[in-house]
Amino acid sequence: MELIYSEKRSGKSYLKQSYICVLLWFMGRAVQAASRVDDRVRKEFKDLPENFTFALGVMPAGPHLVVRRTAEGTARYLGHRITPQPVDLKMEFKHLDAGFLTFTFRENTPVATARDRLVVDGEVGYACAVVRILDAVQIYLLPKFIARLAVKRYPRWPLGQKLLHRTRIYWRTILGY
Amino acid sequence: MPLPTCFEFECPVKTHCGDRALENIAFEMRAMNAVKPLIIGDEPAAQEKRLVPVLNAFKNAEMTLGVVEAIPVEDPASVAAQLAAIYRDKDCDAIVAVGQGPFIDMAKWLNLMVSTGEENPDAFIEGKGIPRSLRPLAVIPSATADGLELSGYVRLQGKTLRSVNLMPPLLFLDPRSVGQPGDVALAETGLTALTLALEAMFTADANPMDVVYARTAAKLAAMGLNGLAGDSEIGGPLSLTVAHAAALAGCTLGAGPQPLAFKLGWAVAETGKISAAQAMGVMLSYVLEHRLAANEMPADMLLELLDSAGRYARTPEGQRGAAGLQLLRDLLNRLFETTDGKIRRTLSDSGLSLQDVTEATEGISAQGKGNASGGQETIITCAWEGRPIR
Repeated sequence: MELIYSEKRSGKSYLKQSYICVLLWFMGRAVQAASRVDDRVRKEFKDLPENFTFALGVMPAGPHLVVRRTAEGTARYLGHRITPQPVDLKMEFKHLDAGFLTFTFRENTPVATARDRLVVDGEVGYACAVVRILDAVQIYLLPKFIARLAVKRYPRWPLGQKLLHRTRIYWRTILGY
Repeated sequence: MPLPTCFEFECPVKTHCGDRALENIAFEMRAMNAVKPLIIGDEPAAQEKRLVPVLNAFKNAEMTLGVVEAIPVEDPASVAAQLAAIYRDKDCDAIVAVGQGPFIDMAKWLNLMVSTGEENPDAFIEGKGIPRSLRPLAVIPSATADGLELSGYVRLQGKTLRSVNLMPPLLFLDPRSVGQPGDVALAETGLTALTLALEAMFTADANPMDVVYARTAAKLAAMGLNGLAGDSEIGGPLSLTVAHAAALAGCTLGAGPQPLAFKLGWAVAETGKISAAQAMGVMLSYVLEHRLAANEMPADMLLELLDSAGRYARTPEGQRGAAGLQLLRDLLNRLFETTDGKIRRTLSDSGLSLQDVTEATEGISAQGKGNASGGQETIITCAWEGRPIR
């Protein structure tokens, strides 16, 4: 019997990729803003080595969020490309769908890690610090009912301070400074 | 449990199981330096469209996929030769096999062919070494399994190769890929898994690592079979549970010798009146009863494996062994009822005469692995009649 061979390209999910691209872009700028506004995020960055660069993204070809710790102890968003600079810590989802689950807040980072959807290339201690930073940023960016899905434990922060910081982070994210 | 004087254990299978497990396939392929996998599927997989989620799992992977669907398994040697030619001509560098039973055997043989260049299985039977590292092979079995998919066995037109190096390095069990077979097919897979698992556990020289795998396989198979018999709720999709049990049972077997109930089951199936899975399901309790009595081994663990810790605790210590074996037979009786008699309780249910069974199983040795001599006749008679040995 003659077997029929066909060749297929693996294809792309443009919609999911675009969504993750926009979300990571916004989140990267929000990390930069939060490092200038919130003491907790600033302290986390201060504890990281100077010029420490981390990336969060999706395998195999991105998109990514690339952030560097500056000499002043704050963060600088470097864009969505991972190649132009050396990266000390890479956190990547194994598949676009795995990333999409997390970035649509149907599965939080600890659960995604437990289900082996995330690969960490770098020091685990720094990865924990980055997860804490991303959690804080998500708490500021998202309304409580969504943020509860995205983080392991929703913290009790003073409401006034949270609202004030949230406004400042949103402004800085939009304006990009 | 006493530790054997010496033992070896090896399981090179990496398992991805559960919700969206298939999405890891591209990552695993890249990790094995594969950029152009050949995806092959058997006829049932093509009919049930089980290749679709596999192809979708490669989205955004930036790979080129070679696909051959609806592959027949009637003449595995010539099909494997054709596939090997395709693999080489199209520069493929890995194999993803979606299917069951003999088809997976064919995929393992294909992998051995493309890895070594040897196209004659006799060369390996005559002593040519099976290399340690073959090309990447991912197996995506359905819930209709014969238990040998993940083992180190390759059966090819009456010839059998076995080596731990033939065990597939990657296994994916996803609710989307295991399919939804009927109750009879699912029960048969569960019975095969239960046979391989319990036989591995209840042997005089069982090693602790085998027991870990076998225990989990037996628990999952019993959960699936009890779920099919309608007696208990299981925590997850029934077909995934049974498929996982079969995969684990195959890992337990590895490249070790086939257990007695398994061999007897396949021999009886040659008569064409009963499937191998059902025959081994019937034989299992009698083989175990005979072996445990001959070796003075405790059978009480059987009760806890097949049912719950509660039932185990409620049953007096002296009755646990007998209750476990009775529970195994009762499981078949309940499956007989829920499948309208399609799952047999005894060999006589299948219309076979005792002489047919005796002739079919002639030449199979019951020796080894703690089986007492002269027991085979008793086992076959009791399995035919459905009567306990003691």
